[in-house]
Amino acid sequence: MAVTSAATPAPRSRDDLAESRAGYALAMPAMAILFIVLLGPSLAVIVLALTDWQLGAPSMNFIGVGNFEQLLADRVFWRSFGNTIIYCLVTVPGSVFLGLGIALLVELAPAGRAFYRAAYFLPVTSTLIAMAVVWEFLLHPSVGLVNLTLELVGLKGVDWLKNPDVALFTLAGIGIWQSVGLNMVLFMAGIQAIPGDLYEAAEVDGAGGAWNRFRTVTWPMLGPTTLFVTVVSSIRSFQVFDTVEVLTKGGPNKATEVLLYTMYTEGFSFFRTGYASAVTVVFVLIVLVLTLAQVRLGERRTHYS
Amino acid sequence: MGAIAIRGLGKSFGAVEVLKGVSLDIAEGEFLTLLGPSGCGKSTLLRIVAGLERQDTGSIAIDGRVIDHLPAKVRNIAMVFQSYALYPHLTAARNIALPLTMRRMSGWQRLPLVGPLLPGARALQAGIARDVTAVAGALDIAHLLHRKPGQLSGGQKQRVALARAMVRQPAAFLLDEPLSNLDAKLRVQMRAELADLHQRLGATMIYVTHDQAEAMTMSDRVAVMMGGHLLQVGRPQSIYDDPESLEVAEFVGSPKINVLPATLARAGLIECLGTRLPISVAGASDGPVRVAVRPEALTLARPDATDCVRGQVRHVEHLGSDCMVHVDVAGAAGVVVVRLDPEAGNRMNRGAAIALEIPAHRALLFDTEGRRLRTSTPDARLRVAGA
Repeated sequence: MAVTSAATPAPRSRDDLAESRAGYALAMPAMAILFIVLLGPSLAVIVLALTDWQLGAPSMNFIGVGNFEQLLADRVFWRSFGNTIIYCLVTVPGSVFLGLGIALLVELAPAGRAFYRAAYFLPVTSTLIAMAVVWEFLLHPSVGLVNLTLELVGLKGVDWLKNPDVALFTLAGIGIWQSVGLNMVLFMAGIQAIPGDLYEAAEVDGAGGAWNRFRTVTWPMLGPTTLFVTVVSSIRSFQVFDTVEVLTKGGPNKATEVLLYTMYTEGFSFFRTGYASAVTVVFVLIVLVLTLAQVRLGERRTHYS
Repeated sequence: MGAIAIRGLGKSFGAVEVLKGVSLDIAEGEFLTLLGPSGCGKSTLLRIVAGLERQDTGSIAIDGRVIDHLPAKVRNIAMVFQSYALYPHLTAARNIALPLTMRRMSGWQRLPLVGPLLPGARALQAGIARDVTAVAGALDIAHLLHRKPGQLSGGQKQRVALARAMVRQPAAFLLDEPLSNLDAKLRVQMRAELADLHQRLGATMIYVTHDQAEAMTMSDRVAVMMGGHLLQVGRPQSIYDDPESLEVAEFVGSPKINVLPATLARAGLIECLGTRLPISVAGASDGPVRVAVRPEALTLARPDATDCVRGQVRHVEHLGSDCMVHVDVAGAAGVVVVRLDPEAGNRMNRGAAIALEIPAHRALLFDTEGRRLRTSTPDARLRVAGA
């Protein structure tokens, strides 16, 4: 039966056509929502980036790549681009390796695993705006706990948030504090998924010590987790905004100006919607390229068993 | 080298006593199988020998040297795991080489990029590569060395795991159900290959399995374990023919041995389901006993026979080479299984009456506690013919 039907394909009947039409009709609502909610806004941003529209203005002009030309010539944009990169270069390795280290230590702990996990996860669940008040207090140059502690051991503190050489790194530190918990939980899940007999095989094979176990089994087996954690951490640190807005407002002297903050001020302080859209498009492109590069590079070295 | 002496080994996990004083001597070059149902403690015993688990009591010695205090890596014992436990990110060649790199090279020489530049590293690497190639050749996996475990079939992974165990020429091999993840056909093939490998290497092997076919076909000796005890240790055939307890008799053999209620009536006579068996038991008092007969020991009675077990055919299993007939017998606890040749089996119909004869010299006698009762049958001629 299969042979005959393969040899002479049945002509498309009216029923088939009706069925496929019904199929499209049934898929339409989902497609429409997908377009309106996800694809539409993105397209709108791309279109707006090609105009000189200002929020509330009655008219707009299509100016082609004018916004992008202006952007590339803008020193503030380049400053904020550079700051974002530096922020990422500190936050991503910091939070990934610290998260891994804490996960390894917590997994070793004979008891209290749930407590440690909850404690480290706390910054992830608490809203940063609220926690920023605490940070501001801790980092206060004269009455802050950080500088008071430093004084106790004979070191001179700095003005963590107002010193242009330090402010960006202070924010990066807070960024690490904020995301270490999530990375730790992801790594803990990864560690728990490693089959125990691999460690036993390693022990019999002579790879028994802590470092050898890590090199032979844990680190390679965590490959997919590490890749995922790195990609997610990168995207999150590229999107840094709330600490900047609450603690430094991009200052002092643009020292903590980051891409999302530039976009925010252009779009919502100066109402230059077209220009802000152009910044957004560039931002999304960078994140996209960064993520793709990481996944490509990582997958070549990662083993999924 | 490779004689292993286990003395009074005990181990508990919390309140559960897994090993209850196990003592066992394994001769150099012997293939010993630990056979038992899951949870009997056989894997724990193996892991204690490997050094992956610490015993609570007792001691283990290899070639007279006590190894209780030694960590796994210096025990000179290799282990093959049920899941193979290959490192998925390394090629087969590097999986096999790992035990050698860990032993022969220093931590610095093992470092990526820098390591190969250190003095002596290249010569060591070349030596390791030679050994890996030699082992791979012996196991017929030389063409698979560049592949990663994910690209290998179950049987190939099994060989790589074996190669990784063999490459450092250990004093003893521990194999923890190594064939249970393979399909039935490959398992039979690997059984023969493992036995052959044991012959060639002449190494001591301890093999853990719950599969009696593996135990029977490969081992020099089988140790039957149940509930943390060693019940019986002996050659496969003597475990099968001459079990010391009903537990062993029931665990070994498929289909299971038939256990029939019987009465020790008077000296030299046992009554069992309407037949009288001329069996005498030394030093046993009259009373209930149990008669155990293997399915292949039962024979069809001649139609005119009077001294036989009568029943009804419930079900016939045709296996090709022979035929298992399940018979309902009044008074027996379950069905009685008889193994017949296919010709005789074909004549059996469901529901038909059937008469079976229990050859006295092949019946095993146990007391109500399951202990073996040593018997003698007067008919010495039959005994010789049956043996």
